[in-house]
Parts: sequence; structure tokens; C-alpha cells
Amino acid sequence: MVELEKIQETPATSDDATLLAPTAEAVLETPAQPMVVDEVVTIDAPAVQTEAAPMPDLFGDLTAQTAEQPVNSGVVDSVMSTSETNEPKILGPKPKTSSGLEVRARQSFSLGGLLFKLSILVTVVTFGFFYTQLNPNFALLGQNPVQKLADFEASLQTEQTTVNLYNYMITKFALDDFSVSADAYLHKYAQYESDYTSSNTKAYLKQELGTLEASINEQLVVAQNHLREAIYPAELVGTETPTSLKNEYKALMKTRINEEKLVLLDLDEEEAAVDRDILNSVLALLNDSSFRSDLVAVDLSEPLDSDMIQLLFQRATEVSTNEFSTILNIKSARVNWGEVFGEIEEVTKEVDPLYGSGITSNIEYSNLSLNSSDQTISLRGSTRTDDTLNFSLISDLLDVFEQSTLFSDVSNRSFTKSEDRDDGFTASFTIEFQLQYGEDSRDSNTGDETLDDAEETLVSLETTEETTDVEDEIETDEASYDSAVEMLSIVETSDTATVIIDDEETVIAETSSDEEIDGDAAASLFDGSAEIADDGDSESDNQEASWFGSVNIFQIFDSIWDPFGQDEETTDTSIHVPRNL
Amino acid sequence: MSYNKINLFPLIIAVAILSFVGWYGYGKYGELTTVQALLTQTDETLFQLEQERSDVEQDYQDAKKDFVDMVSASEEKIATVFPMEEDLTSLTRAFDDFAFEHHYDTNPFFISQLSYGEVDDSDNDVYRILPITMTLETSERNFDQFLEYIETSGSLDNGIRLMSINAITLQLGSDNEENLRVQLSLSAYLQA
Repeated sequence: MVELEKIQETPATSDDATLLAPTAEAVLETPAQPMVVDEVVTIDAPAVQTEAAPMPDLFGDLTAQTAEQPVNSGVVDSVMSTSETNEPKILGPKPKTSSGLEVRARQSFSLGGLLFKLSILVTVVTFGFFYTQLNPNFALLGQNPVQKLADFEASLQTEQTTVNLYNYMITKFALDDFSVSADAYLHKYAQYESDYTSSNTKAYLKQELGTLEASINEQLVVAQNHLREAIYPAELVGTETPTSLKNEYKALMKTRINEEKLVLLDLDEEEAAVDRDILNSVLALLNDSSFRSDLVAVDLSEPLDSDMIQLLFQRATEVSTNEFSTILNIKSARVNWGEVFGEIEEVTKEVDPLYGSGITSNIEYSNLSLNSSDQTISLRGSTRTDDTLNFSLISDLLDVFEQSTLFSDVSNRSFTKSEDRDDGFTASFTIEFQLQYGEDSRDSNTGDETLDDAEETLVSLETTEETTDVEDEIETDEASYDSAVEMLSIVETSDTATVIIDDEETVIAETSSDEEIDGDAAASLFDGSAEIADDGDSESDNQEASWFGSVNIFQIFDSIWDPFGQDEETTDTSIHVPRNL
Repeated sequence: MSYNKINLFPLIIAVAILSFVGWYGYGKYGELTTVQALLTQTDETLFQLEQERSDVEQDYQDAKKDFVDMVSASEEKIATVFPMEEDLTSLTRAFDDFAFEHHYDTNPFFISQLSYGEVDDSDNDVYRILPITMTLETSERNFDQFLEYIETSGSLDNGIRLMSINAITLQLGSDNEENLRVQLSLSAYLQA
């Protein structure tokens, strides 16, 4: 109570209040010990004394003055003194407040704080630096490396796509050149293979074919080389897989082609139309990966055969959008009637071996109709036999037609027969069938008696390497053919070809292997109705491998003269026997 | 002891921050190095590509020139084998020429009747069809050759107009008569 009265008697000045404020606040935080305030006031404001206290000597000896200061309170001592630990403490333990911590941390923060500030600074600098260098959208300081790389990559893609486009267009040009050469080659090859082409013409054609083969090879090499060029930079393989790169650059090419086409679409010039066709062809080539891989895989170190050239020609015209492709499409839809006629002849010979031999045969055709629109063939004719098995013969004929891979759905539903004392028995027929595309289960039925019988009558060709003899024997069957030729044998010794008819040996030619058969000599083997072919003259050049009624012994002669296929200059002599109809 | 704990905290934070920044910086530095390396590589590749482009562009110009020459040279032939118009006179002359070359007394090829139908637009818009009917008196050999003539038509090499045979009706003669009487239905093709 005494101290409280002192406080009331000594009002503090504003300065004192300011000075005391923190201390007072600290004291106020501990309301249970209000006496502290008095002591603090007394200590911190010695000038504000009561009237009874002497005035302090501000300019005197401070020590003396202090010694003279009366200590009139033990509470102050307990606060100020640190040595008297036995004294009871008014304030208690030091409060653990955040402000207190700060006061103490401030005293030992130098390293941590510095490091902290430094780390913040380093962070800002690092992030800032890499942001400027690696952010693709930061353009304040000009192009950073990432932006430069993006630009370079874009340029790279553009350049590579341009190179790819040029490569493909050059490939397309090479394929067009190839198409022209292949078209000429195939036409000349067909002429060369034709039975109607003379040996002189064949020799010329062979030369032409050789020249065309060289051109074709050269054009395909160009196409292959440009197709083999990688469509993506090899340096990027590490960053992406080849497949993804390939797809990416393919897509870029397609996009570029479409862009170019759009540009050309607005132009009406003729050249623009040509360029559009080129781009369309390039696009088709780009989409036809199968053809590209097949083309690249062709081994051009080996001579190309006609089948391969034809196949490549067909594939090349498929990717080209020009008149060639249209022409080829029309060509491919055509029916090869020559092959059909040949098959009819072959099939008939299986049943009637004398058909087309120049000798009266059992089967005769009188009318033939072929229609490509519905792919039907109608064959009218008659059979003539000494016995009464005409219907069986017609049935045999129907069976072999059905077994042919070219024909299907063979039918003849009406059979009529008549008897003539002089001519024997005659039956007419009308066989209708269709051209067959694809497989037919009936084609494989070859084990019946008809074929077995037919096989016995087929011409057999035996070649023995030791004697280089070739025998061509025609066996005829039954008494109805007794008057016909029983055997035709052609025997060749080393330099001599011999034809034997009815065991009567007649030398038709004595020649070395590179000489041609004398057609006139061959003609003497046959009766007056036989015509001899000599391919040199246009009208008398009756060399023929026809589908009706001809004996084509051309191949036999060919085997004689060139048994091992060494002589490519084929002998173009054959014997034509009038059609037996 | 209490003082030490309090002073380590900002130190630890600073170390943690610096560690993170170091890790981040290392990663980004690697990225930047990679970018720089790619930049150098791409620059070199680009330089090479520009050279390659220059070369292939020259090749392309040469090839295109040859192509244009070839197209212009082929245009006349294509117009012959696959014309825009029906051009009946040329077609008739072609048949007549064939008959003239192959007709002999003993080996005849005689066109007794030849007629053309109206040009028919096919289902597609790529070509049109000119129907032709023809009656022939011919030897078997010449008929074979005529079949070859039609089958090899449409080649630029021979210049024969593109044709196909639709139907054949063939009457075979008697034993003494070798010649065939043939009725043919053909198609000649025109550009659409």
C-alpha cells in the first residue's frame, strides 16, 4: 500500500511513460504481481522524486551518489539481484514467448539467416535463368535455345519433307518411264512369243527386248534409289523411334501434298493439272507401302523376266493417275480368247486324239459362240462313230470340259442319234458352259476312265540324253483308226533329224543344229492336203499353232535342234494339216 | 542447447532450399546442355539437308523436264490408242489395213460387214465405249492373228487403238471348206 501511494504522488512525465511503457506492459502481463511496477518506476525515474527526497547530483560522482541512494525496498533487490538466489522471486521463471525467442535468436542468427537469404537469392537467380533459357514462351531477351531449337526443328521438318517430296516425285517419273518401257517390252515380248512371228522378226525383237530390258533396269534403279532414301533425319533416331519418325514424316508429306494441291486447285493452267496428277500419284505411292517395299526388294542384279515386268507394270500403273492406268484396267478386263480356243482344242484332244490331226476324227464342231458379257460359251457339233457309243463320247467330252480349269457348269441336256450305213452312227450336241474364275472342286476329278483312256492315246515324247534321240509317238486306239497314222516318230541323231511314218524311214533334213528344217522336205511326208509352212513369205507363211486342227510339231523340231535350250534362235517351221471339220 | 536448436532451423531450411535449387539447377542444366547439343546437331543436319535439297531439286527439275517431254511425246500415241473422240475413219482404216495385209486367196481375211454403234458412256467416268460389229470370212490362221491384233491393242508401241472382243460367233466350214465365218462384237474405247 505504501508503494501504491508513492506512485500516485509521483506522476510520470510523458517521456517517462514512454520509456517505461515496455516495462510496464511486461509487468502488466503478470497481474498477480503489481508491485513490480512501483519498483521499476522508482528505478527508471530517479528524477521524479517526492518532495522529501534530495535532488540528485547529475554532475557529481555517480558512484558516490549511488552509494548514497537509500534502498528502501527489498522487492527491487529481489528483481535486480542475481546473486541472492535464496530470495523469493516475484516474476517467476522467464516467460517463453515468441517475442522472447526472437530476442534471443536475433543475437545468434548471422549464419543461418545469411544462408537463408543466400538460398533465396540463388533460387531466384536459378529459376530466373533457366526460365529465360528453357521457356518456349519467353521472348523478352530474344530467342532462347529452346525457341531456336524449335525453329531449327521446324526448318528441319520442312526441308526433310521437301526432300522427301522431291524423292517421291522423281520415283513417280521413273515409274512412268518404266511404264512406257514396260508397255513396249510386253508388246514386243508378246510378238516374240507369237507363233506367227518369223525368225527374222524374232531376232530383231530379241535385240529390242534387250534394249528395253536395259532401260527398264535403269529406270527401276532410279526408282529404288530414291525410295531407299530415309524419309526422316537419321540424327533424330535417338530421340524418337524409327517407326514414329516414319509416321510423323509421312504425315508431314501428306499434309504438304494436300497443301500443294489446294494451291494448284486455284490455278487453271494446264501445267497445274499435270502437277496435280503428279501429286496424286505421289500420294498414291506414299499410301501403297506394299508396292514400295516390293519394288525396293526387286533384285535388279538379275535379269528381269516378263512376268516380273508385267507385275511391276501393273502395280506401277495402279499408283499412277494417268491414261496408262485406265488403258491397263481395260486391258486386264479383256478375255484372252486365244487361250480359250487353245483350251477347247486341248480338251477335245483328250477325248478324241485324232481331233485336229488332219485325219477324220470322231468329234466335229460346227458352231462356236463366245460371249464375254455373261462369260458363256456355246459349242455345237456332232460325233461320228462306228459303234453306237456316241452318247458316251459326248459324255466324256462333257466331263473333260468340266475338269478343265478354264470352264465350269458344262451341260448338254439333249442327245439325238442317227444311223447311216456308210458313215456309221452320228449324234449331235450343243454344249454350253461358262468361263471359270477361281477354283472349282470338279476340276480335280481326274481319276475316271475317260482320262485314263485319253492318257493312253496322248502323244508321248521321250528324250534320252545318251543318244539325244527324240521320239514322238502317237498311239491310236481301236479298229476305227486302223487306217490312220499309227505312229509318228521323229528321231534325231547328232546332226540328223528323221521322221518315221508307218515304219518307213524318210530323212527330211540333214542339218547341223543351227540350220533350219527344210519345210518342203517335211511336206513330202504328208499327203497332198498338207501344207508346208515357211515363215519367210507372207502368204505361204503358214507356220501355225492353231486351236483347231493343226499338228504343231514345231516344238518337237525345236527340241531336236536345241535339245538343251542352248540355241535361242528357234526354228519357225511347222506343218499345217487342214482342220478336220 | 535451446539456442542451438533455434539457430539450426533457418540453416536447415537454407540447406534444403539450396539442395532443391541445386537439384533443379542440375536437371535444368542438363536439359539446357541437351538443348544446346541438339541445337548444334540440328544446325549441322539442317545444313546437310539444305545441300541435299539443292541436289535433289536439281534432279527433280531434270526428271520433270524428261517427264514433260515424255508426256508430250506420248500424248500423240495415247491420243491414237485411247482417243478423246470416236474417230471412226481412223478405226475403219485400221481394220481395212489389217485385212489388206492378211487377205490372200488361200489365206483370206475378208471383212464383209462392219458397223459402229453409238458411243456409250460406261458406268465409270474414266472411259467411253464404241460398240462395233463385224462379219469376217477368214482362215483360221488369220483369225488367230486378228485375235492377237485385238489382244495387243492399246499399246503405245504398236499404236493400235484400244479394243476388246465382247462376243464371237464362229461357224466352222465343212471338211472341204477351211475358212471360218465369224461374227464379232467388239468395243473400242475412248477417253471420257
